Amino acid sequence: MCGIAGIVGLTNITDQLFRCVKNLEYRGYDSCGMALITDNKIIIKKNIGTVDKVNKLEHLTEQSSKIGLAHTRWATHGGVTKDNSHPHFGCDRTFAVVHNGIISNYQILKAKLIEAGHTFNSETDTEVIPHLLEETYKEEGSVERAIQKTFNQLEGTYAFAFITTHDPENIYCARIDSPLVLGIGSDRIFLASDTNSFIEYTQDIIILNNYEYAIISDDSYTIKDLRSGDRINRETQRISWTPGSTDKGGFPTYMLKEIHEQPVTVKTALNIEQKKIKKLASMINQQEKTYLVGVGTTYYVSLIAQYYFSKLAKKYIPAVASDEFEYLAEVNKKTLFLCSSQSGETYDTLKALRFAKDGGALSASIVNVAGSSISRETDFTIMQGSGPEICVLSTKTALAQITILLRIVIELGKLNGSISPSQYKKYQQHLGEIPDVTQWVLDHRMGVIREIANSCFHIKNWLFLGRGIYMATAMEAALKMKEVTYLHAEGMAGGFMKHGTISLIDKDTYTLVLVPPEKEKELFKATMNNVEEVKARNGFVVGLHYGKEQSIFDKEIIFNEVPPLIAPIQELIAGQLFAYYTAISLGRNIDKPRSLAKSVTVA
Amino acid sequence: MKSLILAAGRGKNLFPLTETRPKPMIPLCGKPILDYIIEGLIETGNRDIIMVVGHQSEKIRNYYKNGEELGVSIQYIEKKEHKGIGNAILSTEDKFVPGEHFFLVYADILFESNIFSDTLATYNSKLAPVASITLTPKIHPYYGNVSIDQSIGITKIVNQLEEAQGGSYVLAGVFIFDYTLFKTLKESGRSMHKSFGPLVEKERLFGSIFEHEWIDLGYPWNVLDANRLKMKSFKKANIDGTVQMEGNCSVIGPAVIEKNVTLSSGSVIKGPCYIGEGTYIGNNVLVRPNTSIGANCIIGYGVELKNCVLFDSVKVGRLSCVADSVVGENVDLGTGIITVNHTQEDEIINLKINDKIIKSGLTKLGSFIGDQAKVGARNTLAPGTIISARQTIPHNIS
Repeated sequence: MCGIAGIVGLTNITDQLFRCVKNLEYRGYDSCGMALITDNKIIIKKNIGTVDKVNKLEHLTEQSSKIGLAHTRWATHGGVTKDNSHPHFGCDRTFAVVHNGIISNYQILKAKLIEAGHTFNSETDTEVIPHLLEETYKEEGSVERAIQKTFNQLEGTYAFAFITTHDPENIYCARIDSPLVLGIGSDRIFLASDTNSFIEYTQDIIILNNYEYAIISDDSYTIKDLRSGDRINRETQRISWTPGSTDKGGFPTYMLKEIHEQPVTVKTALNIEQKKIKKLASMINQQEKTYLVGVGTTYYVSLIAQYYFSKLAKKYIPAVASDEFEYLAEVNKKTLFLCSSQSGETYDTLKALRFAKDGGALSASIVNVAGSSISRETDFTIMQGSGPEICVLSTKTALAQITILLRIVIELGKLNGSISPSQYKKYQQHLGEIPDVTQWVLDHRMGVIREIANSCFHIKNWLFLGRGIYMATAMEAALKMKEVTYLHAEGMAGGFMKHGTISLIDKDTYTLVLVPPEKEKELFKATMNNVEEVKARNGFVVGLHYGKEQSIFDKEIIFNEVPPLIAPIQELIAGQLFAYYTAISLGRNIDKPRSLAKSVTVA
Repeated sequence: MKSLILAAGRGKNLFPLTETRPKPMIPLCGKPILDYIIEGLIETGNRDIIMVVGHQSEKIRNYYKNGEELGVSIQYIEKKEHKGIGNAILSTEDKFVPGEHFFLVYADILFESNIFSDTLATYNSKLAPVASITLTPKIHPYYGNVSIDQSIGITKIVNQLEEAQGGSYVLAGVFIFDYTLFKTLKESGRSMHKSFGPLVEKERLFGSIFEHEWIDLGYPWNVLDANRLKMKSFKKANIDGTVQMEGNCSVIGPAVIEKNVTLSSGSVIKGPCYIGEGTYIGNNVLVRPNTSIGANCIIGYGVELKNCVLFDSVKVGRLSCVADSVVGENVDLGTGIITVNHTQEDEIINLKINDKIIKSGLTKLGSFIGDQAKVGARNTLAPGTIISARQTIPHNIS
């Protein structure tokens, strides 16, 4: 997802254009840029980093122009580099384009254009648009004919806008599925990916529908049909009510939005090139010792992966919390330091990484934010590509990290012979089922989870129990609960409970038990024994389990049978939703819980 | 933005309460449900209302007139024959112009907080048609019929609530559509339900998740849910200055007591509850939480009321007990009436509505009594009893 903004005005627009693009930063923030026209020449200022950072580097607000476009990017095609940032020029610098969405046939178009003599400067899908416009303008001699002809060649879902020296007074923009809206001010007209961008300047808006393009000047706008070229009359509408925030893509909170994005982020994680996964697996195989490192949620991600490594690849790889790493780890040349971090700037993990590198260790990372410190400082990085995560709590990025680690486990198992070719095939198939299983929980279990949360939110003390990998999952579910509800939730291994903690159980301390599928006989039996122990002490048990309703549970969330490999993932998502709806019932500040920050970059 | 409110339905399953009024005119805490909908629209700056009316439409027209009193403009479209929602919407086509977006609202919903502002927020973000959706209300089953994807686009709306098929959400009866809806309806046999297919697949319809409590008035007991929901917003007691309280009355918790109510000595009023204008509460009456009493009612000596809704001008004879029940306008309950609200085995209570047996899913449920009915002295009404409007039940005298 990216954000587009543009203004044509009677006076200088750069300050307002900067505000407009800044307001879209939630749509992506790995690079930013502006295209302006002065003296009938287009200048482009762009760089990598957040909107503020790019402004410092490129002095965006110090420019002067009456017409301009701006863009904030979250990379989909092509890495995070200055060249890949928007806006993009064609060859002769007569068109500058910003774009949101995906041009699905860009590779074919790019090949054709290169054949026709065009030179490309970036790896993006976007860059085909200015080259196509340039080409079609040469043929037609009219900007409007060029836009229609370009549209005829593009496939995908997108919105784009451009300025051109052939008509320096106007901005052109078009929409197919990705949103675009115009804002009509007194001496200027705005365009943006959503009204959030310019709402502080005007409340009179015009929505561009699919298959329409618009030409805007400082005091007028024309809307036409992309297919027929027919003019469309459309009056402005006033946003009668000022939105609190429209930036969550329509969801009530970022957390719920990001929970719903999980099927897609898992798919993205599954589509990461196999050779990268193999590379990391072979690094683990070569090194004598590997540590899985993370802190907070990423520590539990590592802990979940630790169980996968032991069970499938028959290799014990300890998970160590970043903050304790230097007091515990033995580091030398034969060590691999493998960490996960959403932001890539986590202070404790960076510190552990530097400690490991000082000791001569090889390092690798799984990171979401491109260009971040951890991604730069590790020897090898896998970019998880989960898109911006704005809610302080990690949901989709954690699940993507688990998926990637699981892929590495399976690859390692194949490499060291602990997974047979037929098992390997089966596991690959199971991996492919994760997106659907994730979607299934969202489509079928939200109602019952909400109902349980509604009836239990007054409980101040929770014990989350599990055994084996479900212990790690229980720890992560308990962390989510603590973070967002401010209630006390303790994640613990089922076997550990009776050595002390069981004395806490009474009618006011509730227990959530993550039960494995019955197929995992030993684990299942042992877990059910824990349930009995809690019930015998008048405890209240919420069971996450498989199969039929069971009277031993006071409340239950029942899942469909899935392969044991991915069952913990299903329960993890239920844990996220349980924390979410409990927090909703308590009226908590979901996206920014008290005392927490998205990435902890301080000691 | 204009708002199209659909208020023509018969509300057959709300029998006997809809025998004598359109569904949206069911009163809650002194106002018809429709008032709460219009208030929500006004709060979001939408004062231009087009209302499709049908069943007993004169009751809506006489109450709201042209809307001036509430500060809105109302245009009525009369639909005498009931031929479904699609036809009702199509009958308003000439009130809109191409390119225009408008609210579509079903008039039988009740919500905590403002559902319209949430829907508008999603619309402003998506700039495309939006349907408000909500997780299924508390009662089993816990699944709905609407699924969404990662960008909150609706991926399917299935016809029947079947677990294998459905999604977690249900439609909440509030939409923002554009003018193309009329075209889609015409192409889909003028049926709203059949239009959902093309709306979801071709045109792209987004969901707007409403996370607060929401109730769809489908069955008589939903009136009790709706009443409880409204009373959740009572934060403190509010007793009008003209209320006459004799000595030794107590008011506990957030009770709203309107003008010229009389509380006789020994009465105990426990909030949240509502007592309408001019009502007389006799000696030693106990009003327990979640009770709503309409205007000009007379509650006799020693009566107990609990979790019930009494419409206007109801008489409750001495030593009666009304619980988990809804009592229509001008109903006369004689001395010593008891609405039994559970079976001894605590079974789920069934109701017979229009000759169909309907499971309420509830183990505590009293009676539903239509307007102007008369229930003679000493009658004990079984759980789930329904009494039609104007029906008379004789005294039970040995």
